[in-house]
Amino acid sequence: MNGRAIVAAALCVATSCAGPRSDSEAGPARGLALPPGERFVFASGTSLTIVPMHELPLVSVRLFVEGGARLEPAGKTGLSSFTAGLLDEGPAGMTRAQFLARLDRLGAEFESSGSLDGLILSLDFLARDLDAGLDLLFAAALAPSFGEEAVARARERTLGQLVAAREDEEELAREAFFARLFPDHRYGRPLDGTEESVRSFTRDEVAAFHRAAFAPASLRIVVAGDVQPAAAGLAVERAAALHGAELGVAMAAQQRPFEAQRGEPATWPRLQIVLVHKPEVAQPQVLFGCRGPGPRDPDLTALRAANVPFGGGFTSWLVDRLRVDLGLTYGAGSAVQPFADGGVFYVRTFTKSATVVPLLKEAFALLDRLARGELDDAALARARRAIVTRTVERMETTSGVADLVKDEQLLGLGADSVARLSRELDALTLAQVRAAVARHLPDSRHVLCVVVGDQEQIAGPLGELGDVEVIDYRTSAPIGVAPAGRPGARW
Amino acid sequence: MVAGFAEVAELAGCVLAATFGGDGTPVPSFAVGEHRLRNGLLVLTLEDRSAPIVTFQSIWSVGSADERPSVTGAAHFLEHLMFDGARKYGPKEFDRRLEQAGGSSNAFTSFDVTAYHEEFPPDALDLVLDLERDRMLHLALAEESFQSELSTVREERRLRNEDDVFGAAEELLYATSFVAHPYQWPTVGWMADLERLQTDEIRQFWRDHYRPEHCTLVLAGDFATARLLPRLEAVFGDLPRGAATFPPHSTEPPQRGERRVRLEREAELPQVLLGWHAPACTDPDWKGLRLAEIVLSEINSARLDARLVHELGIAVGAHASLDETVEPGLFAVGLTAAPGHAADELEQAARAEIARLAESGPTDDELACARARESASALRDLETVHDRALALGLAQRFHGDWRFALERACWLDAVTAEEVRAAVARHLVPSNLTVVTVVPTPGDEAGAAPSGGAAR
Repeated sequence: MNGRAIVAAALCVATSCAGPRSDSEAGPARGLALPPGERFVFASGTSLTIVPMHELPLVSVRLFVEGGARLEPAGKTGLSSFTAGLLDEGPAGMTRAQFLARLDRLGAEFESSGSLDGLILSLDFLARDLDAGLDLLFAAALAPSFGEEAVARARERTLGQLVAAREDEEELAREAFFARLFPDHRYGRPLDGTEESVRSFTRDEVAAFHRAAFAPASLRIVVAGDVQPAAAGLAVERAAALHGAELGVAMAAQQRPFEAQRGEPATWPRLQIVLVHKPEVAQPQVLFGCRGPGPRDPDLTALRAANVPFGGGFTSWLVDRLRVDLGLTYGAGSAVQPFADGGVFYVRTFTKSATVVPLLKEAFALLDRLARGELDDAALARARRAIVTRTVERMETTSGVADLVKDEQLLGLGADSVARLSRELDALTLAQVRAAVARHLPDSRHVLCVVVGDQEQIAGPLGELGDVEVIDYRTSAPIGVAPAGRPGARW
Repeated sequence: MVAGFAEVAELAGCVLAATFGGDGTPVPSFAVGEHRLRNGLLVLTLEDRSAPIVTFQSIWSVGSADERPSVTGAAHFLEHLMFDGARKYGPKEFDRRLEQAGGSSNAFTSFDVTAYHEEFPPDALDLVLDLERDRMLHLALAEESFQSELSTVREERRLRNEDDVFGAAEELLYATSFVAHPYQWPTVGWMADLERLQTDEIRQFWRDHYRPEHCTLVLAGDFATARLLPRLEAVFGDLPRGAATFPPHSTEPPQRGERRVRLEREAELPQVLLGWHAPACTDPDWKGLRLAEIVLSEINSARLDARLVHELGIAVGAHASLDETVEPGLFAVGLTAAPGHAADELEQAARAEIARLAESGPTDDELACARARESASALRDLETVHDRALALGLAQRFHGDWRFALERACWLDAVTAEEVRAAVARHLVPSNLTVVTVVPTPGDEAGAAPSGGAAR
């Protein structure tokens, strides 16, 4: 199918409204909050959150541990994702085929993955199968066999996937962008590892990594869907015990008050252009921005609001100018995206080789407009409503709610993040938004800009904007530097 | 056990319910209203007051199959232009007004359908009705917007069908498999056509096809149905019916022999795309092929992934897809080679899996797994007001009855293993097959096997 989808801003906000409506068509505004749920912590340190949602007989479970790629030992980049990928091999005593067939009998969708901040197992299935689903999920998470042969096969498969991933220019841009923004941090290395690191993974390293990561004190469980909390709690306890984890006595979790944490703004020192050379790319990818605030930064809500008119929808400045007025691109968007340990602000778009430079000039001009604080009350009002609507949409599904609670915990946002967002949006002033923009977001002279394309086509024109560092898309090795000031030159 | 688990109240206010069929399959049931306006426009409503959101969807039974050669891409391009201004709300106003009100919009086009949707707070309903009426009756098609939007669509084509290796291979597969039927050209259109489309051609396409008899409106969410219906009648009941008649699409002649084509281009790894002609989605065999698709590709233990990716290690990706189309489409298998393995090797392994299914059918266990998967998927497709409305509208378009969206949870329960086997054996045969092989151009092939061999 083709459509008019644009590059959407990956805003990680979420709220919801619960309870039946009155018959009034518009109705009074209602406070935004997560559906009511129950939060427990076991003596083992394992936490459990249960959010009942009874519209359809579905349930979503997330079993995860914090840390993710940041837990990897030195030199073992990608071990986290690699380990997560092996969890679909099933528990000891069961073949992969047997394990997956048992999941299939439940009609379940299963995924185990590693992210920058977590190791996550997801299971979405019919609520009537809660016991059976939890049994399989805990089996996969807590009792993996990690057979030598399976590890060897996974190693070969991962090496192949690393090659296949080079087909994805958007991902190539992301890797180059993060590598420079976070040179001394795990975020700056590829999530799935490198050829060298993957080749080095052994069965014992995988098992040791898993053992350390999935200690009972680190386990986080979220159950959202058509369940009764008491029965779901018991089912979780039983399933964990079946696979060797005695969770102990459960108590209602004490909610720690949210503590804001203002970070040092980290804009980029100068305009730096990196061209990832890939031959024959018809439509180069463009990604520019800088480091952004972390998840507990008090400016985050204001920056998300600022991002809506700038690059967060069909009427954003980026789409309006680059796509609607000029027809330079099919999509353009921006985002303020926090991670557990920092964050980024970025603009992403793409265009044909001949118009990369005109597109960048236009996008830079819009960024400068944002940096000058050219926002008004109408834009702020629209941003508030857009964030609320997107949040309500996200809260409609069991998987959406389960993921929201998981993200809340991985990012350390506290259990009242939705209500807090709602309050912050209500209280937000234009002056606060402008101040947050001034503090965190750059103008076009202070961004890292990555372009993935064919150097024969675009290295010369890019020189009009500044020095261009050219690297190879397969190895990231430097190919050279195209000096500034040669507009239109072939390179 | 801890007392805390027993001290929780249930949420109130459920608007949906699920019953369980004879074999325990959950069957969703909820109150869909079916209404006909005085001009024949079909309206489906689903009131759901649990969250302050409404979706308005217009599902038009027009797609790229309704185009003609040299005007390819018209349906999809028109979809873009529907957001570019009408008489009352000029350029940029549709999205600006909608987003100001807290809403959002999008749309898509396929071979057989063009679908628009808006999601918004309940107090924006009147605005949305007015915006929709304006563009349905008085689309502007201004020259400036036309050229800019055409340029945008060319960018979209570069993104999906030129830079993307799989997109390029898929385009070639359809262009080779179909010689008569309009499914042969891509929905986005050929680039040469996107360079020359004229305003008058698009205007005529809009006049011919955007008529109430070709549309289903679906509204779901936070509204009072009794008060909504008179408003819909007032806003859309006077849309004029069309006069245009359309000749039937050319029927695709039976394929008599395997077709093979090479796509030589920059690529990281060899890829293979196999496509067999498959029946329309209302054909009795389609259910059997749908089950085959699930067994081969959708369940966790899917055969293609298990065999080619995990057991043999010759592929990094293997999947199957069956077109859900109004007229006969394709059943396709897409494969990406692992480094050091050749396209031939992948193709033979995939064809062996198809042959095994044609010979023995799915196992009883696979059949049960596939049914469970379809049932759960059908329920998940009804979770949001947007998804419910879309499922109802597409069911009306493709299956002639919105109830299919609800019945889908159990519609495969009666299909037998033998029916699956027979459908595969009847349709997925060599004489009905087209194969596209993506051959990385010399010097760019990072991990492929040396010519003629697959040894590592």
